[in-house]
Amino acid sequence: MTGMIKKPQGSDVQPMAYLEINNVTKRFGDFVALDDVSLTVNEGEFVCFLGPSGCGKTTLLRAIAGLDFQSEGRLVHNKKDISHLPPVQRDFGIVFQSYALFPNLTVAQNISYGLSVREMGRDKVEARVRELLETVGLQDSYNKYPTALSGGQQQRIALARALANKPGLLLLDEPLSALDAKVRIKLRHEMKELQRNLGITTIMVTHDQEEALSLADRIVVMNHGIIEQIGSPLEIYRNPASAYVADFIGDMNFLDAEVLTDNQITIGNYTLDVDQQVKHLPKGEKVTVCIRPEDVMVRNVTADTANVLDVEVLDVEFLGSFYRAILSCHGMGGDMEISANFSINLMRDHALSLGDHIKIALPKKRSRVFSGDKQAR
Amino acid sequence: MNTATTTTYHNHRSTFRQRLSHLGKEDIIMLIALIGISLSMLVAIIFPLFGMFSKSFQNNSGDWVGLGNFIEYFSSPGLVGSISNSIWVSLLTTVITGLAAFVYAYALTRSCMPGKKIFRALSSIPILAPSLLPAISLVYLLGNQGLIREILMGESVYGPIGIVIGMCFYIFPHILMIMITALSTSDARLYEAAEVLGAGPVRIFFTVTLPGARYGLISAAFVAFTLAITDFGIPKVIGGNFNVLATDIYKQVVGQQNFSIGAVVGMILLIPALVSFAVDRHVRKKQTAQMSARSEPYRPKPHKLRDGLLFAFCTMVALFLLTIIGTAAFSSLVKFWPYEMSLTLQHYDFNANDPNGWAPFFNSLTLSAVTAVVGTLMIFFGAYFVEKTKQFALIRSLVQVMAMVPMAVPGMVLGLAYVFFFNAPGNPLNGIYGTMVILGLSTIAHFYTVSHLTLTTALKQIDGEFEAVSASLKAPFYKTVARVHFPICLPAISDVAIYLFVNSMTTVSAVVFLYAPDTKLASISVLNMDDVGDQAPAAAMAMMIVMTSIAVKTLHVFITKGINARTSAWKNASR
Ligand SMILES: Nc1ncnc2c1ncn2[C@@H]1O[C@H](COP(=O)(O)OP(=O)(O)OP(=O)(O)O)[C@@H](O)[C@H]1O
Ligand SMILES: [Mg+2]
Repeated sequence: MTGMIKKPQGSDVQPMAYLEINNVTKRFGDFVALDDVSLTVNEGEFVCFLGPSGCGKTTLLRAIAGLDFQSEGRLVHNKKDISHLPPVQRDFGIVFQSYALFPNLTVAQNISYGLSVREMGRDKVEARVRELLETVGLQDSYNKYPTALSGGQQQRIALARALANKPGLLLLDEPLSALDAKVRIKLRHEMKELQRNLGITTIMVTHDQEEALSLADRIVVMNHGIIEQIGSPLEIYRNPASAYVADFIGDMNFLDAEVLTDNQITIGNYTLDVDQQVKHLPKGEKVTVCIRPEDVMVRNVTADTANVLDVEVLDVEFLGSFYRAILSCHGMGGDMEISANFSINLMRDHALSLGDHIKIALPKKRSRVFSGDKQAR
Repeated sequence: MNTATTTTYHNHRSTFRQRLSHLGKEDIIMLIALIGISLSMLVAIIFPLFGMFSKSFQNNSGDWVGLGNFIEYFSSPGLVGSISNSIWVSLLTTVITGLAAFVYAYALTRSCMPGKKIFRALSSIPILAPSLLPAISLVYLLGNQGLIREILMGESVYGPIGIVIGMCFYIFPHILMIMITALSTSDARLYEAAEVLGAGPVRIFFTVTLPGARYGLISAAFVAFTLAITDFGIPKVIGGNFNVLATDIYKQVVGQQNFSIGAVVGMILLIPALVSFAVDRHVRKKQTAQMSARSEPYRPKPHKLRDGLLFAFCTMVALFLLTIIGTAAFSSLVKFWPYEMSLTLQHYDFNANDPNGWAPFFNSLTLSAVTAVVGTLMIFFGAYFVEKTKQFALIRSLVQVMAMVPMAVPGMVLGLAYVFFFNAPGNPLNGIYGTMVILGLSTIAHFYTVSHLTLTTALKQIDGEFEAVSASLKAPFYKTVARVHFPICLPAISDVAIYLFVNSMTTVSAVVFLYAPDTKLASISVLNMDDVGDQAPAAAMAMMIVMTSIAVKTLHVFITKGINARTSAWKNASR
């Protein structure tokens, strides 16, 4: 997980609050697109706004850029209150999903669009354009028109143009969504590397969780105009703060359960140990247990293992590097199904086939419990 | 951690004053431009119409008389007769032109007949001429000394016959365009489906073709009716004693100085135009909904009999158009029709034929050039602000609404409204009355809507994020307009400029109320010379207008080629 290895630049000193978003609300008529959103972005950090379509990611990004003013709330950028400044007076570069390259200008003219020949001189402007083209690996495209480039190349030019003025903040609105899968992954890596090298504070909007997990230092998970959780990719993946986040990021099993004691719950006939997560809930309260398919234990499950279930293999689907098994557990009240990842080795070693009865365990460290039942989510 | 801040801010809504003080330099430029544009539109469109509206409730000395003028008008049989005259003549014109244009459009879009390009080019001839021209030609052909007057079998061309034939010529290209659009927007797969289900050609025509085009046909009918009922040039030249609404306005206002009754007739003429405008808007919405992005264009297959019949029909229509324009050209070159048919250029010697000489022609050239340049720029910026900016939503929607109004106002009515508004003693703009400025203003206003829609459509196709990008690059919006939007829209901009130029050359209806002796225009000079019996010079001046229009259109073809050559570098650059 990349998020753990890298730290924002200068992280041994206390991270500096570079951009503060304080209680920002945005209304379109009666509709509330952002509801009292607050967050802080540190210097040099790569932050992703992640959420489903319509959750307000773009709205928040445009408020930061000053392209659409927030209805309420404050924005502080580099200790300066920018809440009411028009975009020209803010310090950012922006890249859109549509590239938004000026079609009638060459690549060089596009990149140098915000550079003033009067202030910098022709030679310096040209040198800067060449430097940027080198940075994005498109030295040969200097005199080409955007239509002569592929989608991925056009997006690199858009990136170069956004960086030309050396802005303090880079805003990216779904920059990779219009590209096909292969290009998307390649450009994703390049962007991350570029961002790390330049140390530029970056905010990217995406609805692609994989993109957010692989790129971000911190992810802001949004839902219906509010922030559900802020955290590193690993935190968000391992400890989702709500069932919503658990569902949105990665694959997840949701099992209906009831509270038994401070650290036990029941699912049908089974009693499972959980961490202290249900301490504050009364006995009999309906809860949902979440566990990821890859966290379901299959090997070395003995009678002594905690949280063991007897299941039948209903279906096995080959997904390339592993198998995804659908397991049915009769003792769970109703026919509850659990998906689990089976490694290729496991399938070979145990010669599993459909209809086999096996034992699995749900490790308590890997299970998360949220109050409310599945339907209420 | 997510809300940690060192400073605490009290959260308060920004007041209006705060907003205002936070306006950037660009916002202020934009605001000033928007206010400028909307004020000009108020002055050029809304206030004059309001002036006419209130004049219809006042007597000639300006006292409020309520519905008095309307009562006076409707109790005078001579005047009310014009209403029924106007209606039946316009209806007849609508039916004839409608049928002819439908078949012609059908031939151009749904057949494999030869020579489609030529037929299409020929069909636009009437647009290049003032509406007076067909009337003059008809007098030469069918008038008292007409070459072929026998075909009328004793009937006089002066009156409804002449008006209807002239109207058919003048209106044809306008509704042909609507019909071509209606017939081109159809899904080929519907036809394939119908064929697979075993429907014959007749059944397909009535179950697929007609229903598919019905909105366009309805809209065309209303446009034809409105053009016919509001045109002034044709009934003025060939109407004889047959009174219609458009000539009544002119007589009441210019002849008898009876402004109140003129205003009443103006209000009446506004009705068909308003109805047709409303129908057109409604129909347009339906039609765009009908055509999905996945529709496939229809490609006709050859069919000998059908193609042959349609070719014969189109040839007849084209011959009619050519005959009319040819007669005007020929008569302007003939010494003394029909007695001495030798050729001469003497009628083009306007300095000898008319006290105004060549001045009206050059006035027209000046007006057209200025209108084309100033009008196009103004309309472009209006369209840009409406389409591409986010601030000042109220003023922008005001501009958008006002831009639609001229479509619903006939030229005669606009001209009359200008008289009431600008000639009012208290009006500070009184000074432009009788100058070229008022002629230019009325012409731009008259042709605003089509130009605005053309440019809005072009701007809509430009990426909506360019404004955001240029703001992030610290480039002011006007720089991006000049370097990006303007060059990309250049084809549409040149189309609009030509449209304004040609229409300024040919229009009569609005300016006939507004010219002064030294700002007389070529089209008005045609009218005046015809009025005093100088028919050959009138035909010659009309031909000067036609030739100028043709020259400008030809120039446009080359300009378009040049633009395409330059833009192709970035439009479809190959990978
Ligand atoms: N100008 C506007 N007027 C009215 N509603 C708007 C406007 N802009 C956005 N909205 C609404 O605000 C909500 C949030 O929009 P936003 O564009 O921020 O979503 P998003 O999270 O970026 O979604 P997507 O992934 O589809 O881009 C949506 O429900 C949208 O319909
Ligand atoms: Mg978005």
